[in-house]
Formats: sequence, C-alpha cells, structure tokens
Amino acid sequence: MRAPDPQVTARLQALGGGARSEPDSVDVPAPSEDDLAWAPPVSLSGYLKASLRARLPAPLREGRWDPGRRGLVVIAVLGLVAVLVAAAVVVRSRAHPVAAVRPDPPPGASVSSGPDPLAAGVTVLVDVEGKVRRPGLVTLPAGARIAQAIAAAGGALPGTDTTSLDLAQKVTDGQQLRVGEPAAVPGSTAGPSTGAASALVNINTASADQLDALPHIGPATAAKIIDWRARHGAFTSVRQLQQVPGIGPSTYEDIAPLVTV
Amino acid sequence: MIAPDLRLLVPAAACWLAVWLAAPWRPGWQIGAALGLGAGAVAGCWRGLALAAVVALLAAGAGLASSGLRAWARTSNPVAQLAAVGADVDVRLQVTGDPLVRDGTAHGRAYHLVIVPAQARALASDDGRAWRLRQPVLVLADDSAWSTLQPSQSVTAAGRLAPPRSGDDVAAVLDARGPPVHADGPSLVQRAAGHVRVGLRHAAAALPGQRAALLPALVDGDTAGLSATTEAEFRATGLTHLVAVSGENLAIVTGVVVGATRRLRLAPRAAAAVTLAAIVAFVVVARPSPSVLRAAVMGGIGAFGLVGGQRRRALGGLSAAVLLLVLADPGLAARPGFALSVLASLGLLVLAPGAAAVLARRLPAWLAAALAVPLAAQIACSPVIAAIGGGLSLTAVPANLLAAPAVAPATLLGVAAAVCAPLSSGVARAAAWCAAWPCAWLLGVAHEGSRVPASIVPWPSGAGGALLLAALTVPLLVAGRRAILRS
Repeated sequence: MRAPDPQVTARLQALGGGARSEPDSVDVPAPSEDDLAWAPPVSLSGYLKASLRARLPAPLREGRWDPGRRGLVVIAVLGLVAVLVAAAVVVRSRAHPVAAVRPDPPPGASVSSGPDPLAAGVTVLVDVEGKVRRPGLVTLPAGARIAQAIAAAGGALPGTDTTSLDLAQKVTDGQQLRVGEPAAVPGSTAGPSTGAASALVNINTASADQLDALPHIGPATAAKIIDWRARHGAFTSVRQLQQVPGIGPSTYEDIAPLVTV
Repeated sequence: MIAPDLRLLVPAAACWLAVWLAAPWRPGWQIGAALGLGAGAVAGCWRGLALAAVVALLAAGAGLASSGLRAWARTSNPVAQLAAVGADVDVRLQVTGDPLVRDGTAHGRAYHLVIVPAQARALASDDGRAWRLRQPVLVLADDSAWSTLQPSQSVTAAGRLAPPRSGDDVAAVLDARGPPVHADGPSLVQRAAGHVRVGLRHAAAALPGQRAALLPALVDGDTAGLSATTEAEFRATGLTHLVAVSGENLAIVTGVVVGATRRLRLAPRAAAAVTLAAIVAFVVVARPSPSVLRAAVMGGIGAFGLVGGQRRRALGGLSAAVLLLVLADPGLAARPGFALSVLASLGLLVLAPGAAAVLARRLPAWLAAALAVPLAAQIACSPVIAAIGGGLSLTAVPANLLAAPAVAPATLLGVAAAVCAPLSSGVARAAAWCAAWPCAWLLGVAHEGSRVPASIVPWPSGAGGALLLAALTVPLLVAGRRAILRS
C-alpha cells in the first residue's frame, strides 16, 4: 500500500484517532487492515465527527477554526463596540419635543404663497387686527391657540377686553382675529357655541342630518364620521376627515372648505 | 497552500443567524436573548467550553443587542406611535436612498408609485405637537416629483403615517400627499455621484434598444430605463445579479485598481489608500446596496491586508465582512440581497475549487474551471432564491457560464464611460459604444435563455422551500461527485 500521507496522519491524530478518511486525491483507496488496526474508531460520535469532517469541502477541512484567546478578545471588543454604537444610535434618534417645526421655506417661495398645502400644514398664517401692539400677519405653528396669535402680534394693548375671545381656541390658517372688537367675521373665528350663525358645518358637533347635507356624503358616510368622532374623541383638524373610511381625496377636497372643527 | 482562515466563520454565522431569526421579535425579547447569550458565554468561558463556542455565543449576543436596541428605538418614538393610529403629519425628511418607481395595475387600475427611503428629521402632528428626531421611514408617493430626488436631499412633505410591514426596518411608512417641497439640494458628494450617474446614462442613451438601459444598470445599478420584459428575462436566467449592481462589479473594478497600483509600483500604504478610495467612490456612485456593502467591506479588509503585505485570505475576509456588517446594520441580516451575495461568495470560495477538480475528470480543465464558478454560486444561492419566491432556475448555470466572458468588459467599459462622462462626453460615448457589444451579448443570453421551456421550475417559497432544496442539494452533490469519481 501507499505510504501514509503525513498530512492525513497528522489530521487523524488531531481528530483523536478515529476514522476512515477520504484523501483529496481522487483515487480513493479502500481502508486497509493496517489502517484500521492503527486507528480504530474510539466512539460513535468520534466516528461521525471525523467522517463528517472528511466529507467537508477541502477549504473547510483544512482551515484553521480555533479562534484562540486572541480571537476571544477581538470578538469581545468588537461586540462591545457594536453595542456602544447601537446605544449611541438610540440616543441620537431620540425625539425632542419642540414648540413648532418651521421647515425652511422653499427657495423663491414667500410666506404669502398661501396655497402651498405643505407649507401651510406646518405653519398657519393668521391676520391679527384690532387692539394689539403690532397688528398684521403672524406665522404660527399649526394648532396654535388664539392666545399665541395675540402674543405673536405683540400682545393686546393695555386695557383691552379679550374676554369675548376664547383664548384657548385653536387658530386656523387664513383666519382673521379682531382683538377688542366685536367679532365681525363669520365662521371660523366663532367658537362652536355660535355655530348656528356659521355657514360652516362643525364636524365635531354636527348631527347626522347636517353631515348628510354635505356634498357626496350620504347617511352611511355621515354615520361613519360620527362613529370616528365617537372613537377618537374629536376631530382636531379638518384633515382628519380623510381618516374616515369612505372619504377619498376627491370627496375630501369638495367638503373641506365647507366644514370646520 | 496556506490554511484558510476560518476563525471568524463560526462567530459570523452565529451572529447573522441569530439576528436574522430574531428580526421579527419584540425589542425586549431580543435584548433579553442577547443578555442570555452573553451570560452563557461568560459561564462557558468559566466552565472550559471550547473557545470557538464561547466566541460564537458572544458574537450572537452582540448582534442581538445591537439589533434589539435599534428595534427598540424604532418602535418607541412619536413616528411609530403616530403610525399606529394612522395620523396625518407634516414631516421634514432627509432622503437616504434612490427613489424606486413602480408602475403597474392593481384591481384593474393603473398606478404609479414612488418609493423613497428617508430619515424623518422633524415631525409635526395635527394636534400641534412637534418633535426633532432621526427615524427611518419609507415614503410612498404617487406624485412623480418624488422620483427625481437624490440621496442627502432634505424635503418637507405632508401625508399619513402607517405602520411598516413586519420585518421592514423602518419606524413607519409615510403615505405622502402631493409633491415634496424642496428645502435644499444634495450634498457635494452626492451631487458629484449624481453627475457620474447622469453622465453614464447620457453616454449610453445613444445605444440601440435595451442596451442603453442595461449599461447603467450593469455599472451602477441604475435600472430606471430597463423594461419589465428585460428584467423578467434576466430573472428567469439567474442573471439578476448583473442588473442590480453586485459585489462582482465592485470586485472587477477593485481588481483593476489593485493591478494598476502594482504596475505603478506604489508603496503598499499608497496602494491601499488608492484602493480604498476607489471602493468608497464606487459605493457612493453605485449606492450602498447590501451586496455592494458586502463586497466593499471585504475589499476594504483585503486592502488592509495589502498594507501588512499579507496574502489576502478571502474566507477570513468574508467572515469578517459579515460580522462587521451585521453588527453595524442588523437590518442587513434579513435582506435577500445580502444573503445572496454572501452565499455566492461562500460558494465560490468553498465549493468551486472542489467542483472544478471533480469536473476536470470529464471536461477540459479550462471548461471545468469556468463551469465550477456559476455552478458553485448557483448551488449556494438557490435555496435563498427559492425562499423569496424565485423558483428554481434550470438555465441559471449555463446562462451565467455564457454571460461570464461579457461581464468584465461591459463593466470596465461602462465604468470608463462613467468616469469620462463629466470630462468629455465624446470619450464617454465612445466607451459606451464599445460596451454595447458585451451588453448585446448579455441581453441575447438572457433573452434566449428565458425562452427555454421550463427554464424556471416552480418551487415552494419561504423557509420550508429553502430547507427542502438545501436538503435535496447536499446528497445530490455527494452522489454526483461520487458518480463522476467512480466512473
């Protein structure tokens, strides 16, 4: 028989003696009695391990697997760094509440380019008139209150009676506020209590019949609006109408100018 | 022969597998499992467990910790909370990847959908609350203005938030209304990359038919112009890796750069720096897709190997790349592109040499070596392809064998066209014209290959299909090897 390949011998010894091996060379010799006598299988698991190993593709069989102490240290450090990096990502991604998001206006667009729905969504433009220090247009975060609008206009002049205004009420985009004067503007400036005088349907207080009267809204959709209102408490903006099932973009566009919150 | 370096193979596989399996878990479970694995590693070290096992436990634990912490950050923030109730928001975004355009019909209606990966930087909800944050979101839009965005651009948009699909590593999906409002342009680096991409597209535009679209796809993964038919043909013949820019393209480019530094007799440090710069430039231009990242990190490790004057040890490099990438971005673990890229490389390194030796018994050596490459890659990848519903392609091996000679010329001429485009459009067009020939060959291979009857055998998708295929492949390989050797 062939002289035993020293590489194979070394490998068999490394395996704890155990098994028939398939050398790389393609002419597979049958295990001779010599071989078996020299390396009897010590145990079933040892035999399986060795025979599995012998069937592995050459690069996996001959490679160096043991990471050693150095490998342990390298992986430990690498793992620690990975966890620290992940923690840093968590810290960096945290949400910080801010008073308002003021996205930079797009180049060339001025504040008065009102119809831009995206810009209008984040900030609202309100005309504060009457007895304030700086009457005129003020830009406010969406959802701001009348009190904030008055403050943004420099505050009410001393001695002005603001009790006729519901200072906690939210302003809407394009609204005109008259401070210290009887409310002359119909609709949006008036609170829900004066809804009777309003041409707009308040979707938070309207009955099913009132909603039914809106274009494209039938009794079924009206019921869904009321259902949404019941489940979510109230509409905080007209845009939330779009979350009601059955109100698509075209319906929404038609009814949005006719309703308020 | 130097013994292959497999020291990182087990920890890398353990880390990848753990993160992949745990991806659908709640963050708390992932972190809990990470702590358990860490404790197991310490106890194992104490009890004298084999070092390889201790290291594997540590690597898996670190991967789970990294993945769990990130998942926790993604799920407990205003974006995710507002998405859960389907709120309307205004949001300021930074685009993080190329917009993807999907045209099609669903329920009898034509749709045009633009998908943009982005990071939400600021968020305002309808009830007047607002936050500054950094959370990944996926924008779905129907306005085509979204498709012109480039990575690094900041935009504002309005829309409705929705929860992401399970397994998507974003905090929410933004159903955008209307066009984005541009706040600023792309960064300097991204603008340069955009120039290169557009330059290549222009240089290729004069080529006839789908060649004009294939060249940018081949070089930088810019598949915008590719027709659905061509894409389907490449998929049917297992050539998709050419269209979606793959690690192979990066390897070809890196190989040429390394060859050039050798020819110029650059000092090892300078050579490594040049190679790294080329890799970074390629990643920026071709976008950091999972397979490009895999190849880039492997190439980067190889470049560091150059500094030490060591022979590059590819298996060790692949293991290290997998470990580093999964630790740094656990989302990669579940991406099919990442799995395909890693498995194809593994197939080439582990199976191809043996396959070539066995095949050489029956075939001329050159043909055996050429056939072993697509065979090994296909054997390694087909379970994953089956898992993602791609069936079992019977034409993939012959198609890849036929395509192989054209890939390197097409890629290199395309890269030359892209590099020259900002300098001279004439030179770029000439290079693109030369690249049209290999491109035509690739298109022909895909077209003819897809016409072969039963080119794709239907196969059950999902993990079951993958396991079944893998379980059938192993005995088949052993039997095939034995049959060839015995005869």
